[in-house]
Amino acid sequence: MTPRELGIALRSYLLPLPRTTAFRLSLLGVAIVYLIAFLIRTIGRAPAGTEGELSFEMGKALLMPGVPIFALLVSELPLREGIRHRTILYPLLGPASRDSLALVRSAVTALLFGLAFGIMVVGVGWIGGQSLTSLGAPFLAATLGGVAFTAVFGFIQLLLARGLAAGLLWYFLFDESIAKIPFELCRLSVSYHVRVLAGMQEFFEIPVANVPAEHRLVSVLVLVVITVIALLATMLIFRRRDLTELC
Amino acid sequence: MSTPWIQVEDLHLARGGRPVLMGINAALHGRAVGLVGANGAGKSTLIGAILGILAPQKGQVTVLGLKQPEAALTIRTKAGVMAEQAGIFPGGSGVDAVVFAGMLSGLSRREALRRGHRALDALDVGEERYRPTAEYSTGMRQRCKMAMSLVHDPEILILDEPTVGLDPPGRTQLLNLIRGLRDEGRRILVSTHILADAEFLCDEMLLLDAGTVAFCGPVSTMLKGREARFIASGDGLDQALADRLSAAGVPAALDDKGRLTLAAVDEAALQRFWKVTAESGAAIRKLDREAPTLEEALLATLDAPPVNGGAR
Repeated sequence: MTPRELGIALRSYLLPLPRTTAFRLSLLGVAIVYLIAFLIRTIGRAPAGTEGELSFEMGKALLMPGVPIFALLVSELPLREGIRHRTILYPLLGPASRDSLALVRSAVTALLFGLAFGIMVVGVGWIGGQSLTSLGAPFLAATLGGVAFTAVFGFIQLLLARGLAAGLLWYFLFDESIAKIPFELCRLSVSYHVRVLAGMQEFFEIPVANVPAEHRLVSVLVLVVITVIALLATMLIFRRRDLTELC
Repeated sequence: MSTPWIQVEDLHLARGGRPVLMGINAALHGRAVGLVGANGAGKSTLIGAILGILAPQKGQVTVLGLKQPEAALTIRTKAGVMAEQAGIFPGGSGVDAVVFAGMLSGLSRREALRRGHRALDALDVGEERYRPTAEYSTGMRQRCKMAMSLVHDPEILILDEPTVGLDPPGRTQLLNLIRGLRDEGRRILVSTHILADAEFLCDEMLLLDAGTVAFCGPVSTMLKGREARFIASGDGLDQALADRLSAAGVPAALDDKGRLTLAAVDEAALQRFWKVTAESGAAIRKLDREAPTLEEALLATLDAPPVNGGAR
């Protein structure tokens, strides 16, 4: 992978990105979230004095399950959408390798939308009246969680033709469920680490529980490692994939 | 003989477990090569293998002396591709799409813009180039895709069904343009179902039949041995006359319009024809010479028994 290849891969992705339907829907989603937060704050029907709490609750819902669901929706952008609409054929025919295309497109999507999720959560909290200093943890959780979920869902979307359904099933039946199991097993879940960073862990109430100790730094590292593994796996799968849909 | 610009050796490729290409051997030398064959013959799969999008299970593809997949990136900088299946740059205008294609091949935006306008000018795309591609007719989309394949000034062009969906004037215009590109010195591989297009453009044919090579070589070789026919019309032409002509060494057949078709006719046979018809009292009002068509030659090749390695 040369810098020229990476540059071409980057341009081939970013130039048409603002014109894709998924990107425009994401912008619309963000605008709607901000509008709702703003309305709650200004002309909402919440009892006087509870607007801030309501906005806080909204921020929590936005983080979980909002971030994973948003991540699932945008995770088809790097590769799956291009395969479906056959627009990825032109980048594939250019002088950039499959590795560089897969890595750049997946990493840029994860970083871009991870950051966007972080900003969105902070924005909603701020509109809700919270101080910016108290929003550091939600920002970190939304950003790193957004990056990790987007990378993982991107891998699933490339691996399976019905990646959207498979991603939903993986999240609700596996990831979110084991995140709430009060044993060490929960550490295998992306959701658990996002919740640790945001300080909003929830566990199933069972008589025999052994809730593991939380380490924010460990959760940061785990999310970074999960992201890197998902990106490399996406690259390897794309390198070997026979793109019969394009010929 | 010159070095082939595309060489395919013992290529085997399966899709979804089903063998599609089975031992393809082909050396393309012509300025424009027609890749023809029925649906499912393996044309698109072969193009995919040539471009390095599909990986063969066995065999080797060499383009301009460069081997796939080792030199895939270099090959791609030298090739312009107009793919039937490819979608165009989403949401943008025609000129956006062409500039985008230029930038993908490594051109700066300014250079891609300059060359993009030049390519669109060459294709007679006027102010329509500023309209969204989503509003384009099939003809405009084809022209836009053609400009996308040309913007980086490639040495070779690989065109997959370039005239599909075009109306007759649009088709003629695009064919003339492709022929012009061929005459400028570019090598062209054109996959098409329309044999008339292949006949108009190509000096060499690669005919695929169920994943094997049925013919690969110059069009002149394909037509060789297929002599011109004569069609005679007039009064008094009947089966008895056809039989007398055949007996005299002039193979003749009466068609349902009452005309006589004379096959494999040389000068001596033509003289015997005039003699026999005069003796029988028939009046020949018209005698047309029909050159052999590529379609007939292709169908005859497909009917021929295979020889070695899948080629006939």
